[in-house]
Amino acid sequence: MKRWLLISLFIFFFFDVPKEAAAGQTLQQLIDAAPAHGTIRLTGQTYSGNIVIDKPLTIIGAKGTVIRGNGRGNVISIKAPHVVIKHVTVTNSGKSRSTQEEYAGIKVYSDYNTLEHITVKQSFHGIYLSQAHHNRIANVRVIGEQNGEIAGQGNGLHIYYSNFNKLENNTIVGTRDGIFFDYANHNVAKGNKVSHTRYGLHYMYSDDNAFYDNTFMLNNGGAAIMNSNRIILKNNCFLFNKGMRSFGLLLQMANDNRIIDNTFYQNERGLYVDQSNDNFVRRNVFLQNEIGIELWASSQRQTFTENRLWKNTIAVTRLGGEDNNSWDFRGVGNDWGDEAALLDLNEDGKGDSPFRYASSFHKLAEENELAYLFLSSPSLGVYEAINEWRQAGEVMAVDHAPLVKKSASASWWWGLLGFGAITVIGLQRRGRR
Amino acid sequence: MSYIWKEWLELSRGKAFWLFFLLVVAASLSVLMSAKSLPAEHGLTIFLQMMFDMNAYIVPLLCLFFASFSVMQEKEQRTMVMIVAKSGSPWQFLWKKSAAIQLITMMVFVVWYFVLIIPAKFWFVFHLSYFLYFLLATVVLVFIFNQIGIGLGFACKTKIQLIGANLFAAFFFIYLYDFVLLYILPSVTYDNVHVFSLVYFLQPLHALRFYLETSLGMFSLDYLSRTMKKFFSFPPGALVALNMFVWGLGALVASMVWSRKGEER
Repeated sequence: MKRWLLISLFIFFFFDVPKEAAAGQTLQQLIDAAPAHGTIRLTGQTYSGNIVIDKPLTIIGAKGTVIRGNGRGNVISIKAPHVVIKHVTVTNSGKSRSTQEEYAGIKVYSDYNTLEHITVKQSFHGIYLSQAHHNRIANVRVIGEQNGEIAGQGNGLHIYYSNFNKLENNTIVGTRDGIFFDYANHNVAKGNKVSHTRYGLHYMYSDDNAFYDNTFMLNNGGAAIMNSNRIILKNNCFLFNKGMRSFGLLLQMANDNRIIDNTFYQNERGLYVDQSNDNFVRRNVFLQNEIGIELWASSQRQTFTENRLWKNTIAVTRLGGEDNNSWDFRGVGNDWGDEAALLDLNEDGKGDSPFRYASSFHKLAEENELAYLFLSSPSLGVYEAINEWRQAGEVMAVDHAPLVKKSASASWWWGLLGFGAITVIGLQRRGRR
Repeated sequence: MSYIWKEWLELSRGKAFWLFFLLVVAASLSVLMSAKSLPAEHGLTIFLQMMFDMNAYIVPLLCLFFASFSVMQEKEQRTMVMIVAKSGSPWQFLWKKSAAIQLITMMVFVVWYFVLIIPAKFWFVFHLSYFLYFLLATVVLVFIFNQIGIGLGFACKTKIQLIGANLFAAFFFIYLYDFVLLYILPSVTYDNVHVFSLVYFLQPLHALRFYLETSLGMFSLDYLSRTMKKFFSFPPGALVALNMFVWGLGALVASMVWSRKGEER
């Protein structure tokens, strides 16, 4: 019994004793003094960086805990596995662009680490994973300088040669790219919110990643998938990504990706496909974008099925010549909205004849890029209608099994009309009295 | 001051303006309700942009009709002749009439948007500067179309003529202007893109949308091509000022000419 008591006391004091930051001790000294797998609890004060963590350790901050770097190098470097950092604010990494290394608020060189509830400010990159695998980054907030210069600052989360990481519920504002994957495979990005960046999410040479429930809003581009294959994008929202070159999602030299159940709302272009093949686009909503889907002829064999293309200025535009894409899959096409004016006499939910979407916008765009200026102008609708009447438009998409659904908006308009009529009658009666 | 009071009485007793303004109120509320579900952080930006998009269709019509009919009423009821005889010159009448119409319509819009922003302030993260940019864009829109309306009021002889002229003016700014630009687009090159930019932004709706969207940080001017960079090289504020000068002053001068012609007849 006595022996067990001694062992328990030994474990209690030497392995899991929370240590308060003693007065006069630097954070690095605290880390050096802590045992492996120990826990350091920080108080709500500012600690000086830069620090290096080279043993498994848990660091938990309190309200107001700030770790401030010296403006040169990484504020926190994690070089050992199984490090946990929670509830801290990290600021002031090195921002120099003339050094060999790009610095970050937190740079991770090891595996199986957890970073949670962290805010990173005034740093070049927010969190940088360098050949680091199986890490979890959750509820992290990275606030960039939002200075507009591409090289002026780094990315919110930079994932470099790192695999099997989980990036969940992070918020990134005003960095170069929100999350940048560079030669990084088998990672999962879920529930992240990215705004005011160049590309909310940017994949380069990164395959087999998954990408769920993220929101990309007010970026220059929502997500750019370049030279990357077999990515699953599901349940993401691409909203209000506006600007002459903006898009919700860009596929460039990206093949065999699955784009399912996403929402593209009020973007300059919803989906922009260039030099990409064999992508599967299913059950997405393209609503009120200037261009729903822009396809360059260099892209072949995409499949579009069960998508809803509603109230986009131009639903589909195809640039650079003929393409070879399918607008239906196993007898199921897409919902083209009210403008399609399809008949469904046998009421099987599909149009009785194939739907051909024609447009002449591509001619304008091919002649002069300034044509994109007119996407928000009602004149373009008239221009399209005149060209359709003259049969000068070209067929952009042929859907052999278009879906027919009743529009819910019709009842809304009837409601508004009714309200208007009641108001007018009411006013007339008052006038008579 | 008496002009403003007179104008206010005419406006508040007439049903047409309020009926039309009711449409603005209903449409604004519907935009607000649809924006309610947006994330609090960005909701205000998007709400204000949606409001402006709505205003771009409604305000020109409302201001054209209200301002032009206000002048036509003075002509039809012969109060214009009396006021001109009393005040001395048609220029003074025009100046005071314009000031009264502008002040009242702007005030009605500004008061309504201050009311509307109260719930928005609770739902979204509020940036006063963003709201002020929106107010400025709306007030300039009201100013330009009021002034054009006043000009048309002086130019037309009958109400039917005036309705036609108002509809044409609205059609011109909303459809025709861009339609012509679309057809000259193939002849635009890097060398003449500056001229094209000026012509494009001389459409007040383009200039104001550009001003508002860049001020709200919604419209990105990064990573543009050489031609696009040149196209967007004019500062948005300067383009708005140019529009106020060209359309506002142009309409005022035209009104002056037409009012004198009327006097001669």
